[in-house]
Amino acid sequence: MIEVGKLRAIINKELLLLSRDIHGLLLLFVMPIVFILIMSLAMQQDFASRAGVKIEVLVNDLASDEASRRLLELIAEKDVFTLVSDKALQSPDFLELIQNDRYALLLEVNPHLSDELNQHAENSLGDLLTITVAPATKRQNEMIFQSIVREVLSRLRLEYGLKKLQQSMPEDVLAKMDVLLNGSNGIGVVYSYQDKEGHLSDKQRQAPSSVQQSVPAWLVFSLFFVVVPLSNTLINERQLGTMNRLRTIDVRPWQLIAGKLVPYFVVNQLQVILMLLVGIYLVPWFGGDQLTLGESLPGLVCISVAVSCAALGYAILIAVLARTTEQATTLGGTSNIILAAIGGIMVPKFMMPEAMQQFSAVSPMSWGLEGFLDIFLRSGGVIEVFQEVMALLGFGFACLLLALVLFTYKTD
Amino acid sequence: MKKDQSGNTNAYISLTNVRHCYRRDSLRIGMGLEGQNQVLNDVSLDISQGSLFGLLGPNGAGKTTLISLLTGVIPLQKGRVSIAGYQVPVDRDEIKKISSLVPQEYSFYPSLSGRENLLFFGQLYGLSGNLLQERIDYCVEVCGLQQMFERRAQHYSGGVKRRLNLAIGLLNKPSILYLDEPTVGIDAQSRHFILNAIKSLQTQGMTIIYTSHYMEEVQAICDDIAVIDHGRVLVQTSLTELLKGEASKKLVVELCQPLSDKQERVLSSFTTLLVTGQKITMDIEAENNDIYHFLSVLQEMQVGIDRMYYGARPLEEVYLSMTELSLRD
Repeated sequence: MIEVGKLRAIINKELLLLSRDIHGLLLLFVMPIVFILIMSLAMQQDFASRAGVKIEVLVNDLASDEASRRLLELIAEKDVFTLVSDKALQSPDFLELIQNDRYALLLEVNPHLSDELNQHAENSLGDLLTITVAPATKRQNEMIFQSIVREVLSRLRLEYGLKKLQQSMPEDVLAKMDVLLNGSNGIGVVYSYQDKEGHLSDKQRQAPSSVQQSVPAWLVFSLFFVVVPLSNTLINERQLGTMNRLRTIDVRPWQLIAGKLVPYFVVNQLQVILMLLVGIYLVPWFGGDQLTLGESLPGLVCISVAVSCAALGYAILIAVLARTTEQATTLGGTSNIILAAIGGIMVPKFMMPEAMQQFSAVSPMSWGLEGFLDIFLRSGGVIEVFQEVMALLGFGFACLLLALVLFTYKTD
Repeated sequence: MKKDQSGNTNAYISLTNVRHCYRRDSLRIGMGLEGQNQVLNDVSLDISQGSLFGLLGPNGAGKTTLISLLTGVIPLQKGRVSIAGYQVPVDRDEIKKISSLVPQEYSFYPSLSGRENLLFFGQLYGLSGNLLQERIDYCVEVCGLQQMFERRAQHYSGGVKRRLNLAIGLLNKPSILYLDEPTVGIDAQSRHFILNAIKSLQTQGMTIIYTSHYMEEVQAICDDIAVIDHGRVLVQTSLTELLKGEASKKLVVELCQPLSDKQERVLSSFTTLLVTGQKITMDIEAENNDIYHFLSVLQEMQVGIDRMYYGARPLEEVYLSMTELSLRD
């Protein structure tokens, strides 16, 4: 009972010290929240197209006739761009909205579209349509829209031509023409993050979005940042002589170490809960996507416990290696940033070249991130994250063991 | 009390032929290339129960290592140590229960209050409930911490920090208290308070091992003394014995300010006098000494006297003569 009382006293003391360490709290809780918000919102557009979110195109339909309606209908059918019309807008308003990047593109339909299509004449630039591109619109998006508009116009011309020939053509020829126009093009597209039927809804698999990447990435990063406050408390105890005093008291080394690890493990789990809540509630409140947690709560618990063990083992090792708090902050902080850069925390792995993607596997942060992504994106559970969990636990215990050996060696 | 296996029944704390080496830090992780730095070399000491034992030595002499060894901070490498009949390292846990260390550094948590620090260390000593509260109350009273008890220790003055450092050391009601320079960097009032508290603890039967660089403190409170240098014990004896010797045949007068040329010329008529700076030494045993005349001349010249002693040397002088004047690292 006395031994448990001692452990409880050490844990209480660590929690008190941490609660009064404003810088440590800012580092552990505020920094990752800020990172999640910034990165989720900044990378939203990059992930949006992958997640199926459509780009908005403002439409100024100056024709407003059957031909223009058919044109817009065919563009909308492509399911790539969302067409937005507002009859209350005047010409200067359209331009202003585009110049301010409120919409990616402006599509102006010429009032004489129908006449131009019927004449089958060579059209000059802007005779049929005008596309205005917003300053921040990506070149790829602009080219895709142009390509779609060209295809739709070709079809529209064909439809108008067929209409004229309808009376003189036999029924079977017309039927074949209809198949050519409306039939399948024979191209199959499979999304790796969807199930085989191509439906997101069947197994609730999640398409990658910026928030699905940012939350686990910066969550793993923040868990590893316990290295700074944890190593600082240990080094301060050494420098102040408190460690010597503790060693003259009948306190076991395991109590001293466990007394540090337990509260920081609790802090790590609080970080996990807080970051997930940020992804679910705060990011959408700022206009970003909402985080979805996948299906497996046990899997989520396993991976968050494993990342915490790896982070705590690493933190203790840095605390033992460093002689001063400055050394620990520099060594711990810098190595964390390097591990994060390598491990796909700062730049998503799919944006890295193949060689870098292979190299990222050396970072334990990468193992943690992959584990979280297994849960959030790939409908994974305990079995799917087992490999990452084992790797992280192994890393954590290896660091802890090395730290204990060095600690024992240094005290002599 | 357990029977002392060393056979020395008088000594409460006994060290016999103790040696200790540190591996050199710079080569620690150097694939077995570590050098050896001998800090304790064949140290033997006996400390009696209830004494206030002064452990003196220059920086790097081995005092802190000796205390670290006695308190279990570092392991015993060679030699034999018994404390209150318990053997080091076999009875390590028993020894920890009856002893306490007050380190030279402020060894507590600055961001915790005095109360929180005492509660934490008290719990580590295995105290709880009323017993813990009683011990805290006692320590707060002995060390005069009532005013600052609830404030965070980082806001304490140097003197209050020293008192808190001492209070933590008293929580487990130790029968042996190790004080490693407990009055460094504090004002005269706090020093006076702490020295009185230490004297009072000794009268309650506590054995106190005290290290300090302030010789007047040691001279004022210690009964027995050991001087160590370069890891060796130069002397271990009672304070009274140490201060006796050849110097007892001299009268020493320390002046408030240096003598003027004129005053020196007047005193030059005394052949048994030696003037060095603000100190005048008179050989009492010389045939032609005249103490009364010498003192009356000083009075006539209105020379301010800081202090005057006869029959014993100040501890600092004895200490410097033993450890020599060369600077230490």
